[in-house]
Amino acid sequence: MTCPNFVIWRPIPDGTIIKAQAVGDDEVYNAFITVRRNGVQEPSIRHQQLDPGPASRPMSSADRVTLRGSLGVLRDVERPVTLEIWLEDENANPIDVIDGTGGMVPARCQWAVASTAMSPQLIELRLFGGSL
Amino acid sequence: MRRVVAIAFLLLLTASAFGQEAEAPCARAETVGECISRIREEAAKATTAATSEQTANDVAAANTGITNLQSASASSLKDFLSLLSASLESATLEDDGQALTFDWNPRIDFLGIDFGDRRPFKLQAVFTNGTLNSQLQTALASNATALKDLDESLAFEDDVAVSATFTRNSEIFGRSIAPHRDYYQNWLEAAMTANVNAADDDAFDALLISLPNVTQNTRFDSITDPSRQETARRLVAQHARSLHGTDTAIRQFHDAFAKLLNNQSQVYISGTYNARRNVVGPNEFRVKGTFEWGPENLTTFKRNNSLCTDATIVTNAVQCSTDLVEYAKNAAKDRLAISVDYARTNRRWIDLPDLGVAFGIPRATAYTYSLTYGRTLRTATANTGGRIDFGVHFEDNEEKNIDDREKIALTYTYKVSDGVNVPFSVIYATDDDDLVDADRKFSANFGLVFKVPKELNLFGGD
Repeated sequence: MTCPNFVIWRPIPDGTIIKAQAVGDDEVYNAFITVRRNGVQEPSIRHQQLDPGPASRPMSSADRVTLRGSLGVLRDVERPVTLEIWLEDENANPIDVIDGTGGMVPARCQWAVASTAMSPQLIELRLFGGSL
Repeated sequence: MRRVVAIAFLLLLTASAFGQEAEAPCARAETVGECISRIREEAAKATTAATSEQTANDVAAANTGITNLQSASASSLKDFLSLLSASLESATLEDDGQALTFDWNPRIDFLGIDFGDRRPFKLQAVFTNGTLNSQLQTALASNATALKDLDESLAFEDDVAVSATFTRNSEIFGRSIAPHRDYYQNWLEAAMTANVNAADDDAFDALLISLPNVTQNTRFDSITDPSRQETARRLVAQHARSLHGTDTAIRQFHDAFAKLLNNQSQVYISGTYNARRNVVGPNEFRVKGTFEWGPENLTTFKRNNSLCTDATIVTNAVQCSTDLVEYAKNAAKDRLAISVDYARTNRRWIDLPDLGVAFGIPRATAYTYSLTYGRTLRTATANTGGRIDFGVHFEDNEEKNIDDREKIALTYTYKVSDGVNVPFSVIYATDDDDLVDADRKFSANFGLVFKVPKELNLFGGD
């Protein structure tokens, strides 16, 4: 599912795993994610972990996590490069989050870039632990 | 007096509104996501308008000229990173001399060989309508009907050249980001984390925690408490402006990095086999080694800037970004290519008893030395631009009964859009076979180059 460049996912239950993966022509693009948990910067998730990936980070209901992603191409490409982030539980089942309008949606987002004019895209994903 | 007061009040209101526009909160009817997108886009447009350099467009869809290895007008840049491109080249004076070129840069994982880089090979197939061999044309000079019939019988499969090119990417050679990825990411990490104001970020988190049902799809007017709604509108707008600050910082670095990466020197070797119908000419095998040089690129930047090497870029991230942007802005757009080409044509016997023609073309061996200079020309339009390429080619034939040949080609390629280039060439040649019209030593060519979307990936992966 294609998402805007700013997304909020909540409430995230205990045992959640944050997954991220990037796909594209490895010679001309770079994907990168910084991770900030409960106000403290953690080691970033680098391109080599995202492609082929997926990279994983755990999350609990007490956490607040901010992911800032950068996705960019160094040359225009015919097929867009993509960055996908999603949530799973320990059994690899998808996790749903509120959509802000009274419903629930799967916590899964994808972003795509094909031109240098749109590069790099800066994406922010804010995750808040909790329960329904 | 009343009118003066009214005008002053109106001016005051206008000035106040203008001053506050830069810090205006989100609109009540907007969603959180809409407000952030709007403010970032508006700020980005303002930043772009204030910046005269369009460095991204210098690299955006690199105008690589004519990619046909066979063409005398071949650009000094090679496009290794398109999976499929098609070019159509036609002479302005005659219908002959048409060529169709396909380029392909496959991933080679299926070979089970780990080259470290994933696209060191380029495969190319050139289909040419073909031109009747000049000796045959001379032999049938008095038989115009036979010449015409033979000429009309030529098809695209009558002159096919298949080539394979190998290049190796390293920190000095090649336009792949792979050897420079850690350098790029080290800077990116420093910039992205430095642009976060911890206090503001925590305050933004605290706001969102206090509004547990809010996501990017939530409208501000759905927050019923007026005070909390007002705070939300203000802090979300402030956060959007903070994100724009990071947007700008990383984009400027990215654009400059991309431009200098595109200027990297390249070394590659190619092998070509040309299969021709007998009336077109003999089959040919060639091996060509090429060195392309861009005078100012990522490697020269690191070499000339001790603050911004692989080891020091993190410590000096802010200064390095400024230095890189400045270096890229002033970097020379010239490109020089030097190549040595070994060609061997097999002997060919042309025997047309019905036409009373029988003669042989002996085997020949030649070395061709080429020097090509290219320069991208800057234009005021963002997505168009020109490129000029000048090439000198000298062919040294080993056989005594074959003359040496010289060709000089000047090509101007105009980029109409990201996918369409229009090349125009003027060629001087000392050999008739290099010209469309044998009566003239100069030839003018006009063509069209377009890139089609990638559709084929026969070997798995992307």
